[in-house]
Amino acid sequence: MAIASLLQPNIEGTGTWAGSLLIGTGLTAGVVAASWLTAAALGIAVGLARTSRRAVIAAPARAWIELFRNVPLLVQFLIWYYALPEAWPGFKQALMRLDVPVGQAAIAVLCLGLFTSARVAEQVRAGLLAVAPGQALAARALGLREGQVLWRVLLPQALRRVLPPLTSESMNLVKNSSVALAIGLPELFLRSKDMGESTGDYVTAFGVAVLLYAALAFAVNRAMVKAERAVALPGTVGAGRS
Amino acid sequence: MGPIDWADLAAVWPLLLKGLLYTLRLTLVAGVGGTLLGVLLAVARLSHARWLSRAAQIYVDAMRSIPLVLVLFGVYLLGPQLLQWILASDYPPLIGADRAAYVTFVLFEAAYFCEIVRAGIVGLPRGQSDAALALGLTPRQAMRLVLLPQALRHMLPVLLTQLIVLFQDVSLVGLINATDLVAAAEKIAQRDNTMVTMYGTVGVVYLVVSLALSQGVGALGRRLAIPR
Repeated sequence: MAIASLLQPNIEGTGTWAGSLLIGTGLTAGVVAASWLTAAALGIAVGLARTSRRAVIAAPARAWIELFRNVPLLVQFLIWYYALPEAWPGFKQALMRLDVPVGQAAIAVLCLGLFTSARVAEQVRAGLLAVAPGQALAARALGLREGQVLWRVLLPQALRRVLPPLTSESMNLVKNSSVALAIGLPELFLRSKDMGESTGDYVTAFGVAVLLYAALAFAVNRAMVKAERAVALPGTVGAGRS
Repeated sequence: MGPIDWADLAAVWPLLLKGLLYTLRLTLVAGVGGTLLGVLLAVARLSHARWLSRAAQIYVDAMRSIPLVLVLFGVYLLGPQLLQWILASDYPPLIGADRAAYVTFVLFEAAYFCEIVRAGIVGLPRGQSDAALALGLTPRQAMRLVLLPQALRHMLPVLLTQLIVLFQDVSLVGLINATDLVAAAEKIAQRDNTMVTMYGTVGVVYLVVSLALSQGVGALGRRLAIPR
């Protein structure tokens, strides 16, 4: 029964449901990868700004974090996709210029990226605060400029500390990407739901989706653990293990 | 963001309030139910009976690796089939969006609450359970009278923070046609073509409530901290 429903033709007429689910998995993986990069870049910048002693820099960073952390992801999706284009014609025109699925994917990356960036920023802030204060003092005593202190001494140590919590945040990103079904992005979950509706075999459709999500989360986990080991400092517990 | 249209809002606020009350009720019930089930799971997870501990672990790991929307739709669409099979009845019983929502959030949150409770118990000094057992308490009494009360005090702030996460997660129930705050706003927005006002308002409501709650949890955490 399971195999039979996977081999039925999908609603788009582009092949079987098995193929459709795999394409959805690819789309989910692509959206996750792009939003991960967005979240990492913005998260590091906002996390750095958050620890600044100057209120003009720290306050907007704090507002950014609270804004993207305290509104549910679904509501953020609805605002990005439905409310913002109404309120801002320029945004609507930019969105209209793209094909519908491309626009949906772009919104998903933007929305998931900013949502996750707030969480990354909090981790980066905690990582920076956990670096021993003597490190910055020693770097300044050696004559490094403020930018160098940050870039060469504090950030490399802080980011290593951030990697383990970032691993679980990255796996959350895989799960969170399924909320994009609310704006109609044909990612893995939406396709498995369509398959259930069309074939009546929700058990197989959802069962396969669970396995594919687990596979994606596992891949993300492996990649993060590899990264952790690659950058582990000699002499620490994480070094030299493979 | 464009301005919120107050006239539009004034006309529909009772519907939004009804949605917000549904959201709060679901959060509270699932929070209490999830905590109770979570404590049971944590105790099972720490049990010396290997099969019990293993079963609890599999449940928790599985729940935490599946997207919430998948659990939500799974319960909503497959729950009736499962019940039909268990009850061996001739037709699948109707469970409806409301009951599916309550069941989903209790089952899903319990896995997260379990990990919080377990961390709270495991984090206690070893001497606490040794001393309790040395005083002649049974393992069950040691758990109920000595370990759980201390662990609960330690983890109350984390539990409450998870409750705020739950409050935000509940927004997903609109996807299976339960009418929470977001779904109420969605219906009105589509009927009146007032996307900006409706979604903007919902965003502000969530922002204000979540921020206020997390401030409260922070203050409580500082009061509850056990001086060392």
